[in-house]
Amino acid sequence: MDKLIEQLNSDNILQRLGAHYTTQIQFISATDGSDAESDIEDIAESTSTVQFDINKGKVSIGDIDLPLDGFSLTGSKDTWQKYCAEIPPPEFHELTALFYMGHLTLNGDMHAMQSNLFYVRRLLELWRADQRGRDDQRQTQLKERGK
Amino acid sequence: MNAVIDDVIGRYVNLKLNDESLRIYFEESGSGIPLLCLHTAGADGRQYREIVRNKSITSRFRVITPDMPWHGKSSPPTGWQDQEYQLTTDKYLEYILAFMDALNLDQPLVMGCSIGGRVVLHLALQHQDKIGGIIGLQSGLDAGADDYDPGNFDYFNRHDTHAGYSAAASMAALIAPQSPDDHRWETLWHYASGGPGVFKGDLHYYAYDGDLRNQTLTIDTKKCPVYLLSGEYDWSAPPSGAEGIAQMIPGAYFKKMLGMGHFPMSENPDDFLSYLAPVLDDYCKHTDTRQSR
Repeated sequence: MDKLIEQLNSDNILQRLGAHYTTQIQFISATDGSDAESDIEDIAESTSTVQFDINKGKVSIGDIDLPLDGFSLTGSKDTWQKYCAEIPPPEFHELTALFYMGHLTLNGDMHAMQSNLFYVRRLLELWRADQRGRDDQRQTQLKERGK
Repeated sequence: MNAVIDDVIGRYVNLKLNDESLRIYFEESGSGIPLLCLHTAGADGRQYREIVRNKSITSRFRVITPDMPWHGKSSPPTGWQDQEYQLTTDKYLEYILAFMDALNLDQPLVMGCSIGGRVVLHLALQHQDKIGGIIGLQSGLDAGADDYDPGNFDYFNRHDTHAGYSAAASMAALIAPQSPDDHRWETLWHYASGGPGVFKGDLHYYAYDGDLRNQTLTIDTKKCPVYLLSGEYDWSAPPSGAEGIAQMIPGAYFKKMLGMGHFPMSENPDDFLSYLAPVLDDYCKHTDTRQSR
């Protein structure tokens, strides 16, 4: 997770888009709670919650036990996996598509999301790229084990 | 330096419509059958930039791409600052017919996308005698108005939100992942540069006033061919909607466009042209047959 946070904070586009943006964003897998000890780095693979605290664009990992001052995006494991696919299927390819088609539930301050939608979209895309990289690593590991 | 000047020319037409003085910008190229291209909500004629300069089309068609009043380089009416722009079916049709009259367009083939894909159906239903045929891109009878919270559109009108960024970021979700990045971002630039309240005003037609669900789609496709092309990644006006329309209109043509979203002519022009070409070929055959009678 540290590597992802480093990537987010070194992404010039994300930092430019978030220069005036302070909020908290949670990504939640819908079955969260059943497996609280699972690895929160792989939200698409596990049942978990991850919170990003945004302070003028800078990202850090937040404390999910404290009240949320922002918004959460809740989707099923299947939804997150489809979103992270190399070529996502229709309705699952973009943040607003997920939201409007009912695959993702938004709770909290909608204005905090809508007023900085390019930032949130970029954050999700960088997270997705990170997830895809992890998937590639897993595939490589599986292939090596099969040899 | 490698500079290429397009054959496309841009002009203004000034006309009076009801009590409003309109100054409408349009671009055109080519000669032959008039092909009038109508853009989506909150955008402008630049969406057809690769169509209006494509020689395989302009060799047979006079391609015309207007910016609707309030959009692109067309001016809003005098007194815009004292009113809230809201597009209705009647106003939309009045504007299109006035523009056709002003340019003396005889029986044009009218192609429209999204709100344009809806209004071509209104045109064919109400003014079939004035047009040669229609191509509906991302056509739908409705935009799921029953599910829409009108308050959602207010985000495009809040003074504490950058309407351009907000609209562009929302529309990004209607573009297919396969679309080339340069065309994706050009398409979003059009949304980012719209006038205040204009996108929201167009959505009034898209979501409410232009709803066609309660109308019988009586269109004689022998006189007015109907072609419907729909991108598979469009969840706002999905291909299933256009396919349903085609089933209601005997003789209508429908094709789902793979790997494309809500803005086929703008987000992925090359792939779109492969779907448009057979439609234009068919329409040319239709006009040849009609003229030989």
